[in-house]
Formats: sequence, structure tokens, C-alpha cells
Amino acid sequence: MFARKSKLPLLIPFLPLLAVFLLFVKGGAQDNDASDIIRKAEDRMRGKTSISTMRISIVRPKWTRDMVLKNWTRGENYSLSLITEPARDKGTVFLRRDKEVWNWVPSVERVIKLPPSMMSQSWMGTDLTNDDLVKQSDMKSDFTHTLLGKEMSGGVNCYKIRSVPREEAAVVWGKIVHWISVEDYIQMKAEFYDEDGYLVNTFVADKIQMMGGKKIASRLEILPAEKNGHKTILEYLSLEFDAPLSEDFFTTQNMKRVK
Amino acid sequence: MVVRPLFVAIWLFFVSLLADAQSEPKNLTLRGYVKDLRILSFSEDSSGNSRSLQQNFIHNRLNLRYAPSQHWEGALELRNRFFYGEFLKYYPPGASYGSFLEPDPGMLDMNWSWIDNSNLVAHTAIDRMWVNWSNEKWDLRLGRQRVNWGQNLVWNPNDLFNVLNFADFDYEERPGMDGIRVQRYLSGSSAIEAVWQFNREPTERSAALRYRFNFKSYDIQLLGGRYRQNWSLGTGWAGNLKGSGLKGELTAFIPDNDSLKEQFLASVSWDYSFRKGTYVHTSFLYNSRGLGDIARLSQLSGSSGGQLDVQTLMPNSWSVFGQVSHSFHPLLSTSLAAIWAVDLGGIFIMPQIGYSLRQDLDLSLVGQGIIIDDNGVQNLGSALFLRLKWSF
Repeated sequence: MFARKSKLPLLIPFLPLLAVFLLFVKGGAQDNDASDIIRKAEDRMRGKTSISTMRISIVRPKWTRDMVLKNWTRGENYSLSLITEPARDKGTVFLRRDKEVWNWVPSVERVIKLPPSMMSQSWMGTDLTNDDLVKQSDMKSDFTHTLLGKEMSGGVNCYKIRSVPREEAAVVWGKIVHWISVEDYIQMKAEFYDEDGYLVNTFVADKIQMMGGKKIASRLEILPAEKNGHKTILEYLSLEFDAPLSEDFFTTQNMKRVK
Repeated sequence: MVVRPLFVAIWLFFVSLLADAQSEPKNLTLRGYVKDLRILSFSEDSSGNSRSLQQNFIHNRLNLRYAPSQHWEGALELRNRFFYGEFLKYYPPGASYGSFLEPDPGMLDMNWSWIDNSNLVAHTAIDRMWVNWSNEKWDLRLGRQRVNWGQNLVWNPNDLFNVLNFADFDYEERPGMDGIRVQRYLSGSSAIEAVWQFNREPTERSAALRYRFNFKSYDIQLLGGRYRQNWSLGTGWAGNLKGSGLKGELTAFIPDNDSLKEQFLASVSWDYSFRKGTYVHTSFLYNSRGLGDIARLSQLSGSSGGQLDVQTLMPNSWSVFGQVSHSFHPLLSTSLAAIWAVDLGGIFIMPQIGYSLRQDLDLSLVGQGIIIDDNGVQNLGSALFLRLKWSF
């Protein structure tokens, strides 16, 4: 049956991008201190390939739904995601190769090609869309960064940086404020404001630990503004960088084999 | 008869793996679901009196997989259904509901109604039983399996072996076919595939080849071979047109028996997803051998058992499908789908609501109705389905 059960699965091919987006925003090549800090935060998470297990929880005042995914990524253009929980969706696989997205549906034993417009759906109650994520991570010099000072966030001393998009940049945000740890350059918090200056989303990171040979914040909360008790939590259960994953791993025939 | 021993060998493979299961539990997985389905169907008899009938059944599926090594995997999947309710009493002894369910379309009879009386019918069918061997380049599967060659989401003229029935929403797995499939991967996105389908009836046997590749972000396939008493030739694709999806399938059937007619089937579909999550999908089907038989429209209904094959996707020539779905709430999904049989003046409507009660517990309410405009609008029959599904 092809009636879409929920929006969530359609967004899975882009989850690895969200994690990237959360942990660092790509900075420009300016040589001021703020850009340097942003770049160092970004470099922390950089790896040619990654294999991770991630739990994503949608929390609402009256209910919670969890999903566990195994993700394989190569650069920004190749990703493969396998749902391992809940039982209802277990075995479902999403493959993204650049702009093409496929979905393996185990109950009908078929690979279904998804239309690219599914990329512009909003992301589970947040105002973030897959398109934003893709564009965001493509743009190298769309923001100017200003160091506002130092501030504690999540019990860690952080640089507080304001990033404002350049006038010509096609960015949906009016500004983004980042908190990046002084010691390890880990992004601990980010606030996203719309063009009228209203807070839209807050991203909060915690659970700093060593994963895949790097010290990272392994848990991220997305809190939409003005929606009390609503949040989305992403947590890395495992993470490994630079595993040997060739382009041939990211093929429709491999969707049926991954475990 | 070489085939029967082969199936027995597969069966033995499973028996032995079950015996072995305790020593290597991580290679063995058991999954499935239990569904409670209540169907209330309404119809009008010839004198215009309406009558309703309630059917109830519990539907359990078990998917057992065993992968002893990287190269080998086996599957045994079955469904158990337990029917109860007043509708069983309408089947006379000797032509009971259980006997209506029994025929197995495959090589080996793996369909049993093991309780069959006017209060309860218990039925078990094994619809997958295969052994698979694969490496980097090859993939071989022997046994009862599903071979799904469709590209569209509703009508699949390319799907020679296990055609989908959109209306039969409670059995998306579909019955398997008995045979052999060999796949040879040529590159990351291209492959050649050969399938032989066995059957007790020589006129029901099929064998076909498929070649698929990716060209400029279009998945394209070419296929041909024997389909029952026909030669068949077809092509299909799945690609993108700006933000939307564009898929299509064409197949021609040329019989080698003068009593049969040539047939050409073509289906094209388009889908698009809006930013706020509304999904729209439309599809067209042309069938050169449309019979114009209004009564056969009722084959679409999910409650009729809905056994379609690729040559009987629709009984008529020109059909249009439309669907809009939207998620108003993260736990709630809604969809409205309709099939318009243009040359029959008939419409099949299927609204659906799904709600996630708990993590693995889903409730759905589905309606199906067929209306025709034959000197005044007439209701050919309608049904309501209430389903509770627990997945494990």
C-alpha cells in the first residue's frame, strides 16, 4: 500500500545532513576570529565517510515516538539509511545519490523512486526543510560572523557568535546565534531567527563524549519556539568515521542487502 | 518432475535451520504482525433492497529469515487467517468459505483451510519459501518468491509475475510465484535479470528477461519473454520532472494462439509533494483489450479477494487514478484515492484514515465504494474496513 503513513520516513535520507547542520554551520573564508571558530567547529565533524546509529525521538506533551536508524554516508551527496526500529518500519531503506532518492519497501519488496519535491517538506514540526539543509551545507560564504563574547552554555564555556546572511544569499534565516565551546570547538547551542527577528528554533547539544575517535556532542535537541513541550531529539548511539565505503555501496541493489 | 524435490529441499533447509536456531540466534529473525480486521459491506439486490454483511478476521503474518553466512539466506513467510461471523453461514456445506480460499496458484500446494465450519475458518498459506545465494556480482533465488518489476505505484503493466492490487490494502505482500530468479549486476545501477516461473499448468508458465540501468537520473528497464501463452515486450522508467516524479510502463502481449488477442498496456504516473506535506499522485492506464464489463469493476474491491494478473489490471480501456494525502498531525494520516473507469462511467473511491495509537499499534479506517452512472447513479457496492495492527 503506497498511501504515505507519515511524513517522517520521507525525511530520513536527509537526517545525516541535519546532524551536520546542527553541529556546525559552514563559514566563509574571512580571517577574523569568529569565522575561524566556526571553521574549527566544522572541521571537528568532517570525515569522508561515516557509519552511525542514531535514535530520533519526537516528543510532544502527550506522546513520544522513537525511531532508530543506521546511516552510511559518503561526502555530502551519498547517504543510505536503514530503519531498525520500530518493528512496523524495520527494514525500510532510503538511498540518496545527489538529487535522486529511492525507498526500499520490504513488505512489497520493491525500490520506489521518490519525487525530489519531498525534499522541501518541513521537518517534523520545525520550520526547517530538507531543502534548507541541502542548500545550507552547500553555501560556503553566505554568512558574516561576529564574535559577541563568551558565555556559558550546557555547563561549558563558549564563544558566542552571531552569523548574519549576506544580502545576496538565498538563506531563509534572518540570523543565527551559535555557542561554540572554547576548549573543543563543539557547537553547544544555536538559535535560528527569521527575517523579522523572531526566534524560530533552538538547537541544544549535550552528552559530550568520544565517538569515532572524536570528541563530539552526541545528543541534540530541536526546540521549536512558542510550542511548549514539543521537541525532537537526535542521539548518536554509535559513530565511526572514514570507514571504507565506495560509491558502489550507495546503489539500489545494495539497499536490499544492508543490515 | 524435478521441481517438487527442489521445494522439498527448501523445506528441509528450513527444518534444519530451525533445529540449528538455538546455536546461532542472531542469524535468525522472526518478525510479523497481527491484525484484527472488521469489514462491513453494503450492497443492493435486484429489487433495490439494501443489505449489509459483516466479516471479521484475525490476520497474522510470520516472516522467518535465516542468514547463516554472508552469501546464503533463506526465507519462510506465511499468513494465518481466522475468519468468524455471520457471513460464514451464507456458504453452504460442500462450498464452504474455507474451500473457496484453498486453491493454491503455485507449483506446490501450500494453502490449507484447517478448520472449516460455519462458525470458524482457519486458513494458512505459505507465500514465501526461498533460498538465496549472492555475491558481489550474482544473486540467485530459488523457491516461492515475489518478483516485483513495477515502476508505477498503482498500475504495473511491467509486473509480469506478482502484480499489485491497489485496493487490496490488507495484503501488500501479495502471493509469491514459484520459480527461479538470477540477477547479474553489471555496475552500480545496471543489472540483467532472468526469471522462470513454474506452474502445474503449462499454459500458466512464464519466463522473462529484464535489463535495467540509470540514464540522466532516470531508472530505465527493458523486458521481454514468455508470459503464459504470449510473447511479451515492454519498457518502464522512473524519473524526475523538476520537483515531481514521472514514471511509466508499457507492455505488449502477442499471443501464439489464434484464439487469443494481442494486448497493449500503457500506464504513466506523476506525483508531487508540497512543502506542507500534501502529496498528490495521478496515474493513467490504457488497456487495448478493455472489455467494458461493468460487473468486473467489483474485482477492485479489497473484500473480493482481488486476484489480479498483469493482463487484467482493469476490465476496461481507459482509466484515471487520483490521490491526495495529507498528514494533519504527526500521528494521523489521511488519504483519498479514486479510480475513474472513463469508458464505463464508473468510479471506485477509497478514503483512508490511519492513526498511530502506540509505537507499534496502528488503527486504520478504510472505505471503498463503486458508483456507476448507468441511467442514474447506482451504487455497485461499498464496504468499510476497520483494522487494528500490531507489528513485531
